[in-house]
Amino acid sequence: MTDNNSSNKQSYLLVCSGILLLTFIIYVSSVFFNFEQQVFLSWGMVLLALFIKTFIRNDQALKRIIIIFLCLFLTLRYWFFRTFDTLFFNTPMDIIFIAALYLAESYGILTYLLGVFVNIHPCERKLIKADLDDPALPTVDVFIPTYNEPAEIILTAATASINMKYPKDKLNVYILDDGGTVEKRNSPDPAAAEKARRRHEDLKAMASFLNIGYITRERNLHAKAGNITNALGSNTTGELTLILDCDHNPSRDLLVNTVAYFMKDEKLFLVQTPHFFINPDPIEKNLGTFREIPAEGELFFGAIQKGLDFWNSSFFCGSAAVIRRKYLEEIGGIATDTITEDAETSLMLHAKGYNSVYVDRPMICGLAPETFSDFILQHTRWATGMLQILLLKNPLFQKGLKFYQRLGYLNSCIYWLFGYARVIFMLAPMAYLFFGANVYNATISQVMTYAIPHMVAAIILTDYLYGRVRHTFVSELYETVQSFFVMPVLTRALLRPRSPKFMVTPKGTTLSSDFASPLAFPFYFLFFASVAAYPVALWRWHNNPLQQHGIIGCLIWVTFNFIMLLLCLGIVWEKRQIRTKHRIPVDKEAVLSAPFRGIKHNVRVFDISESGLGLTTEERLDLSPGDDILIDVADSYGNEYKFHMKITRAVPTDKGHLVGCEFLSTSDNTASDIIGFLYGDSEIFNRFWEKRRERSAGIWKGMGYLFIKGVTGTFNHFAGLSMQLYNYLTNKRRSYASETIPGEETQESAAGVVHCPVHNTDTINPDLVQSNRSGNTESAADQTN
Amino acid sequence: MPLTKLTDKSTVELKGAQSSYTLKLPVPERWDIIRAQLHLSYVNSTALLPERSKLSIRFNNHVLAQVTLQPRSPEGTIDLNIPARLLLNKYNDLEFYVTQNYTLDCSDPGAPELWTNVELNDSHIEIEYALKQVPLRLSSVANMLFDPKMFGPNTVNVVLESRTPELMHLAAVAASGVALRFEYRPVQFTVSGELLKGSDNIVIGSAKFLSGIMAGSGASMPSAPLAVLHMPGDRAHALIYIGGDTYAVMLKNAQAFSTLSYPLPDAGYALVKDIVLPAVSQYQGKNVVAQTTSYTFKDLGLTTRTFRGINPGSAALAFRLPADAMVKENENTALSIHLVYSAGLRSDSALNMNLNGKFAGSIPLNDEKGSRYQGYSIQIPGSLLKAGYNTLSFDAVLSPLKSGECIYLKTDNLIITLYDDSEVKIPSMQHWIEMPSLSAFVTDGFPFTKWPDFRDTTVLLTDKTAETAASALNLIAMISQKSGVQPFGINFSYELDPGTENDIIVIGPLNTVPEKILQGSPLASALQNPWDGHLRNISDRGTTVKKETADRNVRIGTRTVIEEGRLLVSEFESPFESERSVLLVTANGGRSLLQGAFALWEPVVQSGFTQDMLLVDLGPADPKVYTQEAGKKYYTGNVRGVNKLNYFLHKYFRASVAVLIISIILLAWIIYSLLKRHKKKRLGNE
Repeated sequence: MTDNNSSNKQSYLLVCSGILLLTFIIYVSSVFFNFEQQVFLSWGMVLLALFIKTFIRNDQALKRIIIIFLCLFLTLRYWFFRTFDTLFFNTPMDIIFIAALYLAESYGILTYLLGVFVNIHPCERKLIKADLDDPALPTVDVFIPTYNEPAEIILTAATASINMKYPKDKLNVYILDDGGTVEKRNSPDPAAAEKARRRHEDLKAMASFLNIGYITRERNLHAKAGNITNALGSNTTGELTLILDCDHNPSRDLLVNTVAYFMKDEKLFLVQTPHFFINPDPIEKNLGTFREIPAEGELFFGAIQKGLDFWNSSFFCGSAAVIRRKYLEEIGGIATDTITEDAETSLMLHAKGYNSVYVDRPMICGLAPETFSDFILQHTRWATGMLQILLLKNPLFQKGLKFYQRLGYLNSCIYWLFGYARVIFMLAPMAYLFFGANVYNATISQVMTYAIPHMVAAIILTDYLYGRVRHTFVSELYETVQSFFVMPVLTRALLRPRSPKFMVTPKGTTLSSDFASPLAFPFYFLFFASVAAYPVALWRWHNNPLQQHGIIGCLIWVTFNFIMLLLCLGIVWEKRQIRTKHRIPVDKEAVLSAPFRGIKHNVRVFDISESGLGLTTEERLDLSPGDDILIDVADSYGNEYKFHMKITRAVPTDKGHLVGCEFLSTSDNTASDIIGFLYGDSEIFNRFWEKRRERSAGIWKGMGYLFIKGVTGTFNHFAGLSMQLYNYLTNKRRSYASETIPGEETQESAAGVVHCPVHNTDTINPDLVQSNRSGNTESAADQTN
Repeated sequence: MPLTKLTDKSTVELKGAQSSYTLKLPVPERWDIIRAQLHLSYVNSTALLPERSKLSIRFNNHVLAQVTLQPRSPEGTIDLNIPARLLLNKYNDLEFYVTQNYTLDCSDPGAPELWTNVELNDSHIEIEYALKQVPLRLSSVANMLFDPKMFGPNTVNVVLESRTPELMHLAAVAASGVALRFEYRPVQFTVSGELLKGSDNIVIGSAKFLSGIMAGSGASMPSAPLAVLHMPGDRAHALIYIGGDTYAVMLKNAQAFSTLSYPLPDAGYALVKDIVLPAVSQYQGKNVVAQTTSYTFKDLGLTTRTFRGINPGSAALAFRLPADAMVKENENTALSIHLVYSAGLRSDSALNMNLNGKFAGSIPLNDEKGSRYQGYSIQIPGSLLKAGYNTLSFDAVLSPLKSGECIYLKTDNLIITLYDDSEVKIPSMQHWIEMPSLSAFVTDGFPFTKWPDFRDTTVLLTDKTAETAASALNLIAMISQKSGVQPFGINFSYELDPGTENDIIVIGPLNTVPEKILQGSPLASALQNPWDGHLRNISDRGTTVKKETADRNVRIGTRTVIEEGRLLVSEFESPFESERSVLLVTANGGRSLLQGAFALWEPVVQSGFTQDMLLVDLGPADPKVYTQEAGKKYYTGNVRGVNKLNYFLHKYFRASVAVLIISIILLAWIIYSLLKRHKKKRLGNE
């Protein structure tokens, strides 16, 4: 008791001293200094932050906080400068542009501050493994909600779920089918009804084959949230519920690494784990950055969730999470007021005083959207949902939340307003150059002593905090490329917060050839506007000598935007994607044997996929395409696998061979083994991430890398467009010639037409699944109607 | 009088086919002109054709002389008499007008060969005059006695009954009244206990004192305590009496004398019953403009101006920002210009604007049919504005539509009128200045005139000699002339009050300057460590005193501080109150001090007021000024936040940055400790 009192007293003293110091620091950040003093202060702080970042090695946590405060000081100083020294207007047009830019910047600074708060001390947890022999081990239901996804995707997820290490009597897997509901099966559209009936039968057969549960319901109310809530009340009894998207395949150790937290903390309602994607998202794919820089989600799962976890605010991300059933039932199941039901559910349970945990180990392997349109669909849903939470369940005013949880949720919600800010940042310098609109009242010396130090400090800090999981300016790229599509959707949601409906993100799409995304138009417009900005700036330079400072500033700004636009143009040039089974790099020892040739040789497997694997031999072997071989390989847990394979290609290298081979189905267990080997080993995902994060490029190199990617991407885009135009014109001419020359045959050409996504129709085991396998982007609004 | 006294130029350039320049020659009311002679020196281009190149001298539109400009003898002089009848008691126009050509047929009116320079340096005017009898009217104080057209030397003797602080206050008020009436002309004040012959005298004291000093002159005593009399035996000079039975009455009379500016009462004396003074606010004064306020050009002294012809000249307006004004460099001065221009201008005609000599904007006059602009907007960057006086000038460049060799040029239609209801909007500003700053002092007496009536200023006289008192009056009057406000709130003292919270002006010979003042001054280090004889931190730049010559000027170690004939002015932070300033004006002795105080009126000395310490060499020729930065910096003003805290942050800037960094590290440690506690609570033993 005395210890407690003393500790409280100490904490109180610390808080009081901290408030005093913080007041002093904020005060100094707002004080006017003359030019020389400001130069000394701002650039001195930047250098000090750089020095500490580079040379101070001890106490990383304290160092982190010092760097944060040094950098935030400069940001605050800049904001005070912007607020007190730059907001004055000469014309009504000025008011609009200056206010818009100021608000956008203030928003950016607010999210930056909240982001830093969230990530000030990320939670580094040690894995706690559950004792599977413990009789107190809770029962677990695995829910795999599905709506319109291909059956083989569901089959893979279900098989991987069954493969999880957990006592079989305590593990129940369920397919929650919303594509075969009674409502769907009795649709007035006979084709749709037939499709739903077939899906219902197929999935039921699959469940029966796998000896797992199949649950469907009468009506498609509340989309995925309603589907899960329905399952909770459908004779399922597990104390814990593992929720998996149907394209998310769990590793064997997912439950082992998560259940123990529930046994330790009775008030725990959620253990969330990261989402690992085996395929590149469209941005990575189209720019060719997959395997080179961390993926988009890694910032969230590799840093932000850890930061949120420290503040007991890590939230449910829709999949790869274990939830305690009784708390879920307390709030009537998964929340349904917004289309990000996952975050909303977490918010409500946090508000009830329950805890969450984030385990930073990827233990599911999923599929990212393949096309830019699908990517935008997914992200606008997240943005809309989080805005709905902000509007309908504002975390600042939710009863029961701690102040840090409010800030954590606020950060997650307002982040998605970036669309407005990015559009303003993109248009503001052009408004100045093209229309003479006054957007920013500052001289070049003020920019150099306030704005640039703030920006440099922000770059240093974000690189320091997130550099492993997010390279410099990649966030800006992701935000810019989404902004023009997120903004109108958010505006609609702002006006009618209850109107947005859940949209399923299509997965497993394939693309037969390169083509320009239908969403490319805004980037064409901005690209040409940016190009035109340079001669306009030159003209202004000559005609407005007193504005040369502003012109230089805007030109630098336009150039930055231009580089972003180059990257955007690279992104919206959709690359051909015919591979349906994505490969993941590994480094495993294996034994290759070809009994009929008397070969038994140690090899290294360097990548694997659902269809096959790639390996290298250290010496030349007598192997050729078409040969049957056996591969003996073990996963990280020591499980051994023997795969019967066929060589598809064998390329000689300096010493040995580079061999590609595909799995041959020799038994009913083959598919299960492949899934077990590929998805069962979370160490593979972990190593992949670790390896990608080791490639931290640094600030300058990262910028150069993006610039090259942008130039290449844009070149590819316009070269592709030119080629398509050439083909189109050539075909047109031929077609005209054939029409005008009697007797000449009309030639068909695939070129010159718009290419549409083709959805995956491959299967793992054709005997098991007989269904309509075309994946459609359907709206859940249909379900509720 | 050299003609350079009438303008700020040393040479007048007359360019083009026809050109003129006008000087304003003041002739005060008090003068009765007997004779005037002009000596003019000029140089003309050797390319001129004498038959068609003439220089005319005009005086108030009367042609006094015409001279042929000879290319073979391009340097010429003209000596001519100006008829006395032409010199009126006003600002008279002395115009130099040239017509210049290089061929008989036709000349390019803008040809660079067409020029003549009038060398004002070598030109002068001699005027012989007699002083008129002083009319015994109070209105003559404003209309005649202290007239800015009197280009000097102007002297006024102040006769004080005693040199008590109270009477010194009255003397300062009266002297300022005189200086303000002289507007911008130097005026030298002396102080004595008796009348000074051959000069105007202001007597301040009781009636008994007045009768005492006039005893034996036969002059009659005035009927009231504020009166204009003739000097005994000299009707050309005035004796102004400011008296009263009590100090309060004398103060009333002094204030009335200082502010009197109307013709009535048309009598030689007045019995002042009451005087109501307008409220004084901070940063008020002559030509001072307020932030975020729009002024018409007329408000700022520029009336509607029409520019005509190929050499239309320029127009300018001036306004003053407080000496501690800090205009944000990113804020603009907004001009809203109303003008009309004639038809027949070539499209490259323009009205150019310069702020403080730097190009600030331009209005194209490119419609051949003529046009009118109503509210043409020009934004001038705030960085072109400066504390103190700012001059916005307008230069019209008018080109005829038809031009070329041997084409008859019609220039009468080259007209542009700039209306005086055009506006200038002053941007917002803050008050913040790095001190000490003698340049701010010489601009408008800052910081002593922050309250322009000197209410926060104490003048410390280090002895009771007449020279010290006169020096103080000269200094105060000079500042008042600049600020435009009388020092009604000023305090005089002979004793140093260590508890004072005022700004202090210390005047007196160095050996009488209180030790505490010296200790706080840049000279302190020399006092503590006997000096080796030269000013510290002396560089070899231009006007700065050089090491090898400095030791003959300053020998503080031996207490022979400043040699005779030199004045030392230094500004530094008050040792008694932060953000307050001390101005030390000192010399070797009273004579040098007074000579120095007279010299302070001179523009050449005032232009040398920079940095924080200056030495005026009062040698036989024009005074020379040496300046250097000797003291510590401090700051004063009112920017956002807590002024006292800002003061320390600026004064001890590097220490403040160190404290800031330590605070950041401490805060980081506190947050770290709190986070560790939170982590322990959150993760337990995990």
